[in-house]
Amino acid sequence: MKENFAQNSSANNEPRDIVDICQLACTGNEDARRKLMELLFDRIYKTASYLAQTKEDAEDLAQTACEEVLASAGTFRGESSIKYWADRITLHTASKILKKKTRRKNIFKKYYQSDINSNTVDELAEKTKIQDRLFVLIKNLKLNHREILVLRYVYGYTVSEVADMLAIPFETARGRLKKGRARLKKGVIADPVLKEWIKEWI
Amino acid sequence: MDIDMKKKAEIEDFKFDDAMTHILSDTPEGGAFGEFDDLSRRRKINEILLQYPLLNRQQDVYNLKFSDVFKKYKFAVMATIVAVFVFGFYFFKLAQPEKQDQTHNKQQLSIKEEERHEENSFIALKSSLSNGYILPGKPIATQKETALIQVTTGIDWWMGKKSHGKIQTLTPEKLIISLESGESWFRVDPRQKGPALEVHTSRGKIEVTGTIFMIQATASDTTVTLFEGKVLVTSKSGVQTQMLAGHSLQLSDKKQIRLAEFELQQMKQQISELKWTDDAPGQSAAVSYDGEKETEKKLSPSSSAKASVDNKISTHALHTQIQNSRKQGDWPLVVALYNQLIQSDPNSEATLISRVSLGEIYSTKLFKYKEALRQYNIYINTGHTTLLPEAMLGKCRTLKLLHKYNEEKQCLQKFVHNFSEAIQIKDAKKRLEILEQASQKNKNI
Repeated sequence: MKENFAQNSSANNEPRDIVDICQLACTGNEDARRKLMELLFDRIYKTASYLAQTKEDAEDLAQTACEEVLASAGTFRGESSIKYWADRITLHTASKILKKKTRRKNIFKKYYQSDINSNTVDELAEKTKIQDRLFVLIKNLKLNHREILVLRYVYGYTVSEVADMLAIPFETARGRLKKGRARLKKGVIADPVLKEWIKEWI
Repeated sequence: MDIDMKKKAEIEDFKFDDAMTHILSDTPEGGAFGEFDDLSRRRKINEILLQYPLLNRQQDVYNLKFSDVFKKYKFAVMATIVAVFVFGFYFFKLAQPEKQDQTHNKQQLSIKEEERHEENSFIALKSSLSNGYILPGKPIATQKETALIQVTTGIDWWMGKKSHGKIQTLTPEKLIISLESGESWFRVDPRQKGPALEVHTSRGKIEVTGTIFMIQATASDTTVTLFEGKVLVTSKSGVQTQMLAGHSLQLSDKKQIRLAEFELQQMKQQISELKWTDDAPGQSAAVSYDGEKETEKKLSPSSSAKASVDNKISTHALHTQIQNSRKQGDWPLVVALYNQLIQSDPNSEATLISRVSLGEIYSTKLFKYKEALRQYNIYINTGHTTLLPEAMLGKCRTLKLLHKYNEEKQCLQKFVHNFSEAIQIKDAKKRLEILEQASQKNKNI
C-alpha cells in the first residue's frame, strides 16, 4: 500500500472524532483504546521494523511504542496528523531503546570482533526482492541515519518535518540525510542487483 | 566546471531519492519483516491492551488534581511543613544577636547620658578634697582625663577615662572602693602597713594583699586582670577564685584565662605608662594642696616633667607597640605609631630610620605612593647614610608605581653610581637598561 504522503503532513489537522477517540482512550475506555491501536499499530510496527535491526528488537520497540502512545493519548490535540504524532513517539522510543542495544552490540563487537559486513552479505544472498535488499542495507546503517532515511523515503516527510520530529536543528537533519544517503548509495552500488536497478533511475 | 560537478551530484541525489521513495513507500504492513497475518496482529494488540492496568496508573499521574496529590503525599507535605517551622525557629534564634546589639546600643546611649552627670561629679571630686584626701562616700568620675589617686599610704588607684567609682569605707584596717564602670588600675605595696583593699563591683568583690591589677567594670560585668601578685575574687553568688598573675577573669564566666604574650606585653607597657605616686612625685591629685587652682594644676601634670618621663617610656613602649601591630598586620596603626614616634623625637637616629620603614609601609601595604615618596625624600635629604641604599631603591620603586619613569631613571642612575657594590645593584641595572631602551624607542618614534 503506497503511503499517502498528504496524510502524513504535520500541518494537517485531524478530524474531531480521532481527537475524541484519544481523549476517551486516556480515560480508560476499552473501545477507544482498541480503536486507537487498530488505527496505529501497523504504522508503529512498520516504523519499528525499519528502525530495529532484528525482528525481536522490532517487536520490543513496537510494543513499547504502543504503550507510550496509549499512555500519551490524552496529549493529542489534533494539531497535527495522528500518524505524525505516532511516528514521533515511535522515534523517541526507538532512540531510547535501540541506542542502548547498539552500545551493547558495539561493546560485544569490540570484544568479539564480529563483522557486520559479512552478515550483510549473507543476508543479501538470501534476498531477491529489491525492497528486501534495501531493508538489509538500511538496517546496517547507524541509527541516526536510519531514522532520517526511513522518515524521508518510507513516509515522505520533508527535512524540516524530520528535524522537528527528532528535535534537532534543520542543518543537522540535512547533514545526517546527506551522509545516510551517501552510505546507502555506496551499499547500493556495491550490490550487483541493486546497482542494476538503480541504473534505471540515475 | 566545479559548479557543473556540484549540480550533477545534486541531480543524482534527487534521482536517488526518487528511486528510494518509489521503492520503499510501497511496503507491506509488516514493514521490513514481511506482512502481518491478521491473527498475529490481533494477538499483539490484545497483549498491549492487557497491560493497561499498568498504563492506567501512569495515566493517573498525568491527570491528578491537587487534592489527590495531597492525599497521596500527605505525610511528605506535613513533614515539609514541620521542617520549615523548625528551621525557621532555628534561624530566628540565630538572628537574635541583632537584638543584643540593640541593647548594647542602648547601653552606649545610657553612657552618653551619664556623661552629663560626670561633669557634676567631677566638680564633686574637687570640692570633696580636703586635707589632701578624698572624702569617702562621694562619687568620683572622670571624662576625658585619667586620674591618679593615692587613696592612702601604699595604695594607688589609677582611674581611666570615663570611669565612675567611690571610696565606700576607709578605716585603718580596711579600704573598700566601689567601682561602677570604666577601667581602674590598683597598685598595692605589700611593704606598707596600710588597710586591706577590697574593690567592689556590680558582679563581685576583689580582695587584695599586695599586687598590681586592673579592673574593668561595666554595668553588666566585671573583668579583673592580674599583672603580678595574688588576688582573691569573690563573685556575688559567693564563688571564690584565687587569681594567678598573668591571668584575666570575667566574673560572669568564673574561669581564669591566661593572657597571651602580646597581651602581657601590652599590660606591662600600660602599667609603665601609668604615673604611680612614687614614680612621679608631685603629680598625683591627692597630694596635699591648698586651693582649687592648685588642684587643677595637679590634676593636669606639668608639661616639662611629663615630657621627659613620657619620652623615656613612650619611645620604648611605642617600639613595642609597633612590633606587636606589625605582627598583627594592623598597618594603619603601625603608621600612626611611627608618626607618633617621629613627633616625639624627630631628630633621633631611630626616628630617621623609621621613615624608611614608614615609606615601605605606605608603598607596599597602604598603596599611598605619594606619602611613601615624601618619607623617602625626607630621609635622603637628612644626609643620614645607614639606610640610604634602601631609601633610594624604595624611592625608585615608588616612582615606578607612580609612572614617573624619567625621575625613576635619574634615581636609578644615582643609585648605580653611588652604590655599585650594593646587593640590589643587578636588579637596578636591569631596570635602568629597560628604561633606557624605552626612552630610545620613544625618541625614534
